[in-house]
Amino acid sequence: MDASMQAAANTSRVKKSPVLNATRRQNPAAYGFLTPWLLGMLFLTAGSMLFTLYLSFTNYDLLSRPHFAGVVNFTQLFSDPNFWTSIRVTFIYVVVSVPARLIASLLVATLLSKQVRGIGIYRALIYLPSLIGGSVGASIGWKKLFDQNGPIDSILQLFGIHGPVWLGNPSTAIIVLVLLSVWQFGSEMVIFLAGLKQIPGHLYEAATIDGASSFQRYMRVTLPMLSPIIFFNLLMGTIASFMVFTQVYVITDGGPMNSTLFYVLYLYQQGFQYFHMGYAAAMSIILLIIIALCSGFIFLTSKFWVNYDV
Amino acid sequence: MERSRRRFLAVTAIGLAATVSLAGCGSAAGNTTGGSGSGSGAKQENITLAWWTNPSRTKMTQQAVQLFEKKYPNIHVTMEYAPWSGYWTKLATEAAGNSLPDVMQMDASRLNEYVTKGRLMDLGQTAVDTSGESKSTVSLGDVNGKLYALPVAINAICYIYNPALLKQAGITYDTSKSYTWSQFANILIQIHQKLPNVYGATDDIWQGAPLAYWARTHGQSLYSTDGKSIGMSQQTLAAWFAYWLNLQQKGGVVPAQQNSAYTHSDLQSSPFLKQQVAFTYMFIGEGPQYQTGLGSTIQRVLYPEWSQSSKPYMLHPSMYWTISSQTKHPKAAANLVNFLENDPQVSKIFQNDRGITANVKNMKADAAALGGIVKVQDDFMSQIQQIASPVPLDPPNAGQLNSVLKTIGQEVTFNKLTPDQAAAQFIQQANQILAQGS
Repeated sequence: MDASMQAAANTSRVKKSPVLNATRRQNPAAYGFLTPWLLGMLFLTAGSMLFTLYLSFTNYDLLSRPHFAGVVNFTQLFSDPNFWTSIRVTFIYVVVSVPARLIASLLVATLLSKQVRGIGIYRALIYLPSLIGGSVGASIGWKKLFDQNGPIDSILQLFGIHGPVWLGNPSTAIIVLVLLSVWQFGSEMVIFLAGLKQIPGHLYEAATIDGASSFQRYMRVTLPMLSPIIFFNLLMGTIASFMVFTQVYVITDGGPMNSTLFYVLYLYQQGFQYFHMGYAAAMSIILLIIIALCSGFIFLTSKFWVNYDV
Repeated sequence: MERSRRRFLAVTAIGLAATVSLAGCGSAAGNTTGGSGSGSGAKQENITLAWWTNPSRTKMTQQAVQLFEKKYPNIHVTMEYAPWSGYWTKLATEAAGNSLPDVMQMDASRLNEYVTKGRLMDLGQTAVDTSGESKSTVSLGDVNGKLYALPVAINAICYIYNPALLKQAGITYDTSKSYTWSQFANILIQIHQKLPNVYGATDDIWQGAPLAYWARTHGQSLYSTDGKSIGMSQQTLAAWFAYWLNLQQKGGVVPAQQNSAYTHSDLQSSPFLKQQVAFTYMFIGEGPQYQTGLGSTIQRVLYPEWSQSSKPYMLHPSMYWTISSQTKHPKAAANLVNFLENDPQVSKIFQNDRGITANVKNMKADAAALGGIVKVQDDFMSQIQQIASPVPLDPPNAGQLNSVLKTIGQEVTFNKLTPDQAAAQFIQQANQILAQGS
């Protein structure tokens, strides 16, 4: 008895220690291979964020050293009419473009989830705009499309409609930008497609047996089952919309009459055109807070509409 | 324990080395000019030349630098160029890292800022040779009585018109006459009356240079002498807004929506090239682009009221050469500036790409040798030089006023502000910005 217990203890010690040793040996290797990423994280991300926080309390024009200025940047911001304009414009954009894009991507994903011949090609073609949508080239093309006497105008004129000067009119310029965002629904659509495929078929069967119409099946089965994915797309879309820049910079550059002065565009103007780096840093800190608050709000509401039990 | 720690350190070191070598690859790939060789005989000097560019300017400048390196085999020039907006970001970043290029192309709207921050060298203390340029031209690079920047070329605003459209409208324009502002407005309105599909001109209500000229024809100036506020009266400014609003209402200039869909720097979108307007304003240096864009000859004319005895016409420095105050090779840098500024061969390569050549001898030689549009530009410029006076340098922060003027000008064209309200608002906002600049 004694001997066997001893033996058992011995084997367990013998068995355990190589495993422990192996993990102990592998840990440093893992950290070693993580080093480049860790350094990047520390210096490029965390470091710059802390530096931004510091800069937001300074006057810094890049040409001379930053001077500590306290909260001047923040107090100036709150009395800057352009700051409020940019907040208003950005919120309008987020509130209009995010739902529009979600609805468009969901509808198209529903259509593309049907098994039709050549569906792969359709999916690829419809996904394409989202790959190039944020690029400078696509933005220039979009601008040309809405030019005076451009393609859109010509098509409208076929129907006897005299469209406005899309990019010259303060109330229509932002529509052009929203449409560009909607046009790039591809990445959301792909995620929705995957989600649609995940919904178990027996749920639809059961619903059909219970006499649900196809519309009812969509509303009662598809949407609730998709809600975690809708939540994900809503969150990512909202964050991305707050940070929209390239398209605005290329297509309208804030005009006419500041009607498309988006937050990040104004931040860029302050930082890299007027060289008010401290001011721009303060703006980016505020943007961080705004995005965090909005994301938090979406998370809070998710309790009421996101369905996690499958 | 001891062993694993050593191993941990070793692996970390490998990781670090990998990171560093990756970073190294990046910078080696980014360095377009490569090594300069280990120097043959005399000590090799490395200097950097930076300029904002367009595709043809890049080629011209590279050619000029090749000639320079042939003449001075011991100086190697690293070239650094970017388009206008990227250039200033890059330069400011380099200034922040204390690594400004030795020789920099500089603009009047930024010069004051760089001088105030102590980033530029007083050229009077270097061997830079200014004997080839007229005194009034050289004075354009003066800041607080010291020469910090040497004008490469000079420029001025003017109007151009499309002769075919004027002929169609049956209107003759006397190119030698000094029209009054209101006579000029009548011509623009007449064009629209005769040709309903054409407007007289582009709406220049938010263009800074024409506004500065307007102030001068009213015996005032855009900025106060100390540069800390707007120099013109609210009344004169309101009259400016009212002038363009009146034209807009009568078809003398394009309607509001159309005008705000176009930016002056995006030449391709200009209504002038689409033959929707007969007149537009430009800087003389832009002539060839307008002519190519239109596909036929353009006519250059002076702004209204140019013949006033106060010489309101403005001579603008088009670009400057400047030397960094931190350069380690001031002599080599001065040699490069002299070469780019005064060498006749370089001048022939550059033509009028940077504006009308500042070196008088070279300008005349180019006009004779190259003829064509270079001669037209040069002749027009020498006509302007006789009636113009140099303008004082823009105060720091002046660059920011453009967007303020644009927004407020647009609000006038869309009838959101009356000319009086617009003038009051512009002066209030501009003064705030200018006060922060000093």
